[in-house]
Amino acid sequence: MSTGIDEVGAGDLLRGQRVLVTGGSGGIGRGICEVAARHGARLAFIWNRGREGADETRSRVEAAGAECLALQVDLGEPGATERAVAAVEEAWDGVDVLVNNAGVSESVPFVLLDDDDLRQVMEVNFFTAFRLCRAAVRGMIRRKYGRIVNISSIASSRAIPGPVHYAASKGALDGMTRSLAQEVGPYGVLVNAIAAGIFEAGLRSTIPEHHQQRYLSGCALSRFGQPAECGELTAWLASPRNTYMNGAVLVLDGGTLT
Amino acid sequence: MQFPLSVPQKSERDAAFLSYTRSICPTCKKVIDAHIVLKDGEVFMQKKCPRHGYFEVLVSSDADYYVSSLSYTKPGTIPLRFSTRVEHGCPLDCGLCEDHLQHTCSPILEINDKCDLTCPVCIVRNQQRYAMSMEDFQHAVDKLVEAEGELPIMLLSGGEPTLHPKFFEMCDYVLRGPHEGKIKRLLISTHGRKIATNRKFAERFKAGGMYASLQFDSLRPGVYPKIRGVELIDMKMQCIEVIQELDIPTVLVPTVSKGDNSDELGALIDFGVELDQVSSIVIQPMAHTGDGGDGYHGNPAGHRLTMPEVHQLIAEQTDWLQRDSFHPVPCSHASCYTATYLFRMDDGRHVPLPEFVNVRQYLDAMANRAVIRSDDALETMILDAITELWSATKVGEDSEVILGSLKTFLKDTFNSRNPLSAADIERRTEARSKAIFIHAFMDPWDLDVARLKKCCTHYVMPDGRLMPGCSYNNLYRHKDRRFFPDAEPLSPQPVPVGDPPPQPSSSRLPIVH
Repeated sequence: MSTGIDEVGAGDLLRGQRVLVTGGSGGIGRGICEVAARHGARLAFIWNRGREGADETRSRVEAAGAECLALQVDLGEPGATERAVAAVEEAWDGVDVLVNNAGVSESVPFVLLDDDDLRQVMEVNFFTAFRLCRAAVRGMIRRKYGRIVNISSIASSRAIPGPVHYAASKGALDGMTRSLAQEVGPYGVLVNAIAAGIFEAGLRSTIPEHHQQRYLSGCALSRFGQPAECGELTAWLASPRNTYMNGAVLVLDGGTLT
Repeated sequence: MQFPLSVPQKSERDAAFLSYTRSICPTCKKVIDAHIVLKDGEVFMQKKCPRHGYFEVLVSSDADYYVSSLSYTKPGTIPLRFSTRVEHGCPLDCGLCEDHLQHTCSPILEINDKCDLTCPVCIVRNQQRYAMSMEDFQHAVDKLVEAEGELPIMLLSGGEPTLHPKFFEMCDYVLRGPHEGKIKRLLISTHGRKIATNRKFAERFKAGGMYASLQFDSLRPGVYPKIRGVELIDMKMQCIEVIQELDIPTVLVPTVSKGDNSDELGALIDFGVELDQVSSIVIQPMAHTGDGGDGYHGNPAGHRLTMPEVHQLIAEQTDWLQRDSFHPVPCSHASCYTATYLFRMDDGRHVPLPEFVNVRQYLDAMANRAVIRSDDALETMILDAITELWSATKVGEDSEVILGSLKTFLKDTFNSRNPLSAADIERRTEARSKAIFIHAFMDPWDLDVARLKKCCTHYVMPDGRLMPGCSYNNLYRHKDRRFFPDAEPLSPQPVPVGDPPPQPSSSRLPIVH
């Protein structure tokens, strides 16, 4: 089914904006990078594993005519988040937009989760985003402008079958979004989140087939989302055109019943 | 007046009546009454043909098991379409008739009656003349999808289906044609010779995405000549090598004949579960029907393996399966299918699910599955098992290994750091978890209408009718004009749904109000 995304073509939402995206080597992250590039952004993305995926994202961003920085960073290492933001600030003299997209999941029942499992998922899905916000917001407040978009999940706010630690990490992300929006909003920094449903590529592979089918049967559009569709919403939330949406967690799931 | 010197004494029957059913005479196939009786701890079918006399056949070697197994039942699923009306009574209305109690879980479509083997245990009647036309095939598949909507599996059989000149086209029609995605898996019932000896064929088979449902009766020389008419051990092992090399998903299907290879059940299971490509093993005790089975043994009533006997043999021949590892599959009659599901632990051992799952609570998950599939029923069963094990007062060493192994499997399979395609997830799941089925066909000796009524393994006719397998093999196959063009028409004929009821004949008695 056509999503109409390809017909949108280039836009101007992010003309000249300096955008940093985490988890850009595939899935939704690639979609966000590609759309941002088409909207005129200067695009930096962070990747860790998957050189092939990173190369693919870079080539798509550059094909859209955008300047691209591909940073291989293990965001779990101490100080890595600060170094990543510093690298973009050094290259481009600042970060206007931070998109916290990197996330991991694993389909393990709660009773089998141990502290290590919990720590790993919280580390990538929440702590890293927290630290990146802390690193990027400093410059944003100084410049009195910034946009932060956190890629969350419908699992954070609905009682759907899925890994508990993943849902908890996304719930933490939602809470941070709302609270941070309150605190930095007066300085021109708007913070929002997208509670994504199931999208092609990305974390979909961790979801058992029958859960995916149940989602589809409850989705008004009867399909999974395309990464570029998340990219379009991200682009608007991240753009100077967004002047009043702040602290929102927007559901992007094609209209799915729980 | 003279009085008798002694009063005639009544005597007791030698068996306790359990239930009434209908069967057929093994000689003339006439439908006759039958009793299921308990005798000396076993279960027998007793029946009498007015022309050919009295017959008795062992139905179960364990009366307690037989009686308790009957409680493994759940409501059947109504097919979307019936083909024939109830007119003459079971088993004379097959098609499926409106009284049939189960939909089609496992459809079998015979695409030819040509085979390059002449197996002494063969249950069909190959005439070496029929090859289904592509048009008939497509029509049959279309009708099947119309009747069922979606199917987890479908089998192509024959004869030897891989000999059909349009074999791959037929497979493509099922898997990539207008009903793409409706039939999840296509199994090919084969002796494996083409896979073993024709590399190009094997590669094309693999590329086509079919499963091999491979006849595989023995691991030693000397058995195949008896069962299959010729020594096949080398060919079979070569086939296994090719399957492993090309990673062809496979179901192993041993036909077991008492005294011939019944001592190899354990070895066959041990062999099959170690192969990643094997998703399940379907053990089929031989049935005395068909061109082979009819004359295989001089005492067909005595030469049989009943379900509890098979369980017992497996328990004796393995050190990790017990009799109660197996449970009836509730969507058909308890005597038709039993199964166990296995999970391979991190230390390489296989654990039958009933060891840590209360199977009776999850009858929905125990469907006729030649292959494991992910659905709510199975997930709920596994999650409950995990939770119960984990929260038990005392978690033993084995429980720790089981829980750890389940966790390893889930983390490896459903992890965003190493995303797998849906197909890869399925294959990984099949490599880690397997099923062992015992599928008991019936023959004219033990045909039981009660078992036919809930049969879910149906032959698909070219016109779209669906015939319960054992009913077709014993009562309809020899009248099938595809194989026997000169056969006399069936009498009585099943009546299609929608046909007007027959006019009462003058010889019938009037209805008295």
